[in-house]
Amino acid sequence: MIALARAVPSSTHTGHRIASVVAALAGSLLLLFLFAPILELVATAGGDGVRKLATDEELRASLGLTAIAATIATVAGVVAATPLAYLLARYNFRGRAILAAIIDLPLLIPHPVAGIALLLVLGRESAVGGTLLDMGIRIVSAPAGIVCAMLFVSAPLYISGAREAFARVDPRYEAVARTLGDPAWRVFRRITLPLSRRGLVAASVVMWARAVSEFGSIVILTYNPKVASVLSYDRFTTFGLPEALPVAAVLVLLALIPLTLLRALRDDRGAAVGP
Amino acid sequence: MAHSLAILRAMTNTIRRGFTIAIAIATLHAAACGRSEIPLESDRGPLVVYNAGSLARPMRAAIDSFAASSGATVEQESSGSLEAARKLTELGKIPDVIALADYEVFPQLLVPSHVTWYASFARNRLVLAYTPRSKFADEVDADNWLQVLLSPGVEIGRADPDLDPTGYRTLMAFELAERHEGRPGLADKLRRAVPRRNVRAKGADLVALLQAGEFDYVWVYESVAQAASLRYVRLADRVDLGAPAESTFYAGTSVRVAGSKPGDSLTFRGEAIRYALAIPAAAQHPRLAERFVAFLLSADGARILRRERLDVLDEAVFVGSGIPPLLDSLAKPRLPLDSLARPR
Amino acid sequence: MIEALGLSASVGAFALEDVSFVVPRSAYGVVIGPAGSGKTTLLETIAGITPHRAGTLRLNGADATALPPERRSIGLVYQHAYLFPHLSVEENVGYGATDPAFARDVSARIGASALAGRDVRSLSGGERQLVAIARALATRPSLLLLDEPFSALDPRRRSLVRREVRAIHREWGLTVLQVTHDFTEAGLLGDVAILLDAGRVLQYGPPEEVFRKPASPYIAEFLGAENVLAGTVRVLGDAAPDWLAGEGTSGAHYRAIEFHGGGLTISTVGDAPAGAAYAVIRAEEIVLSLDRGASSVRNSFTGVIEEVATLGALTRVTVRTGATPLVAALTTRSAHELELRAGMSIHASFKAMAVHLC
Repeated sequence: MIALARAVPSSTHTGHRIASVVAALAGSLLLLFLFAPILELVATAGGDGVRKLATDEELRASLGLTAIAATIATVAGVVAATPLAYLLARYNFRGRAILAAIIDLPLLIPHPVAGIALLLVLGRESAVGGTLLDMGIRIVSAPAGIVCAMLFVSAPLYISGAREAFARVDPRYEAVARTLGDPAWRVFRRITLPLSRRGLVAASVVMWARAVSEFGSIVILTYNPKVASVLSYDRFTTFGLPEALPVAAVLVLLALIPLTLLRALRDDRGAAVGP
Repeated sequence: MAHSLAILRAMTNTIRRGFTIAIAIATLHAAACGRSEIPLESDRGPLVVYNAGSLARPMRAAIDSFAASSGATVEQESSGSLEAARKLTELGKIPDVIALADYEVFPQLLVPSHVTWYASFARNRLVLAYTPRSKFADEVDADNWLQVLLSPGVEIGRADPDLDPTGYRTLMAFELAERHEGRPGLADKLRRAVPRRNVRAKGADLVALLQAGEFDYVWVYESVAQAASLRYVRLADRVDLGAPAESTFYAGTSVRVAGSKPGDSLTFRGEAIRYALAIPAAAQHPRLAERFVAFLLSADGARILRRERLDVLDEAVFVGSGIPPLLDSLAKPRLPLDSLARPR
Repeated sequence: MIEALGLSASVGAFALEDVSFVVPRSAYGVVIGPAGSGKTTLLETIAGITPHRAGTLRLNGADATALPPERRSIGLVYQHAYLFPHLSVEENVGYGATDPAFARDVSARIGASALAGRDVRSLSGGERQLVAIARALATRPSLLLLDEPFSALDPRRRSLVRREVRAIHREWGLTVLQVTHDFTEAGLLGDVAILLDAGRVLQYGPPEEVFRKPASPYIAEFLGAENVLAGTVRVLGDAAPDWLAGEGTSGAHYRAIEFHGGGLTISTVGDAPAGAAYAVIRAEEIVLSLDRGASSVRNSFTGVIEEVATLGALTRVTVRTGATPLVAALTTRSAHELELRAGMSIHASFKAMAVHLC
């Protein structure tokens, strides 16, 4: 009888097994590396931080300011950048690559430098800043400055993600919808948006998270009132580690709520994107 | 008989040879030891220096010169004075030399757990810096600065008292101005002329924002203003905390800032601004650090620092105990540690 | 109606160059071409999804250049249905329909109403195609564009749906343009056949004309003409030959031609100039007989059967005559009656008029 089993040489088998083990090990190490500091932070100071919420008004105000500013920045970014992301995804125009590269630039710039750059265009002496100030709208050294800094550093992340999400929607769906009688904007609303919703939400979450964590550029534009990142640095410098850790820990804990919510949102009734 | 002679001669030769080698080794050893007391490794460093932001440039110049002549590598970290102290107390990062813009940080945070002595070595004063674009830039001078600052529409910046010594010095200057001018309520007016949004983390931030046009006037140290080539107004000696001769006048003022926990507070009495440095007890390269400090406090070092606008004292003032012998010769007068104690 | 004049457009790697043709109102047009010839691009250009960069396009008499797709009254069915995955079957069908009752009727006719309530993602390829066709028709377009719409359907459904589409085409007076790479389907369906290759129109016209008179040997081969012979034309005289009448055709303007090629001398008529040319003879035009002289056709050759290939109701017989084999097509029944088999000696003959020169 001839053995009909498809013989895989045992060396290949072992090779595969070793590769999977190595991959699993590397992955676990990375996860550990990412989680351990955060877990340590929350375990050490989480309780303290939550207790402080009740008594420390400056902390409460700071967290509230951070969350609100990040949300405003994210909403503004999503509204303004979504059409741009769609354009980048759909139309291959000359200079698209350059435009995309320029959009990515804020990600490269060291954060304090970003703050300085924003100062140049939004400050008292600039055309924009000066005009706004005359109208009574203060940006530098005001909460609006926080929103601007957050928007600057985090919008590119949203645009990347949104562009990806749109690119994954086959343009033929939109084409069919057009022939069925819908003008372009209605097609966007009825077809493109629903099919790209998951990706867009994911991109917004990334943007919001990035905005919340920003420090270097905000410190330059608007030091007072203090966002959570600035406050924790200040507490560290003024009072030391025992005061800084609770601020950081409670920020992490509170940020978990919207992050989880949004991630859960995107996992419901998702759409497969096949034809 | 001839045989035993030969053996004897061979033995003598061997002994003689061994002896020569032994002497050679001893000589070399002595020579090596005599050249320096420091083992070869720590000669080269790296020497870690923490310094205040306003010392960045003078220190850089001094470090470069020292590195060139000694062959040592030096790593410099500039930060706020309090932040530098926190690195030692909170993060366990101990430098070889720590030089701060405010000697008070030493007794407040670093003595006795990290540092047993420190030395004041340079003066500074508060000035009002501005640019050609500032409002009233062409008119402002030592006589009318008060009017200018209190005019509406003038944006003034100062540093955060909880973070930066410049901050609470500024508040002191307000108090001193009130006393000097004999105008009650002036300190309050000056404070209100700088709303909370114009309070920035540190002096260096104020300079940047001034240059960007966000502020018309900022309260910073003279060394900082000079280093940034800014125009500035010199205030009266009694106001700017720069004249040791006015120490008594200064001492009549005090300012409350945040203490070691939120809700706590510290009260500082007015003192002439003095930069101070120290070599922490746990420094990695203490001998090299001593040589560096000796260089800093020498005539050559002083020349380099002065070139970078640092107002170096003619003689450093040492406080505390356990001062290294190398620096002892430079230490006069020497004051005991608690001579500058302050009420808390 | 669709009038294309000098249309040029490009989408990525696919391009149309100088495309011109006319599909009259309420006619059924078929676009035939190999893969990559630009057939889908052509449909997308007519639909307005791809803008054309040169030439004119008129739909129902009006210049369509400035008209966006939603105003062209067009129904488009892609080869892979492209049903909206986030909508139900009913929502898909009714997407653009202004009259829900009408949409339901159309859906029932096509056979898509049976799929109502099913999740779009669970449908088979054929079922999706049904829904897609119903969706396109539910808006009552005046022009229907189909991109190989029946390829995903099983044979039974295919003929069913084809019939319904033709019926709707007749009832509504719908102009249809259907893309296929199957030329037999084209022959069955179309009023107008448009041959597309590498973005260019090679030939267009009524299917029989295109099939019987391919403009080039390439087209002939592409259309599945089995007999394409290279050779030379010799014009015999200016007048129509007298034997023409014996073939049952009158063609006063034809000249007698002798074509030498493939080791054969073929008599034909036409107005081709002397010189190098190709002769195209469709397989079904070649008649096989066991003995000669059974008919009065001009061209009759003897040969040996090389191969007998039966495919359902049709049998293709390859006969070696001279240098080139000739392929004849006949009903399987006839093939059985003649008891054809390889190695047999056989006579192959075809009319002069069956020979097309290009």
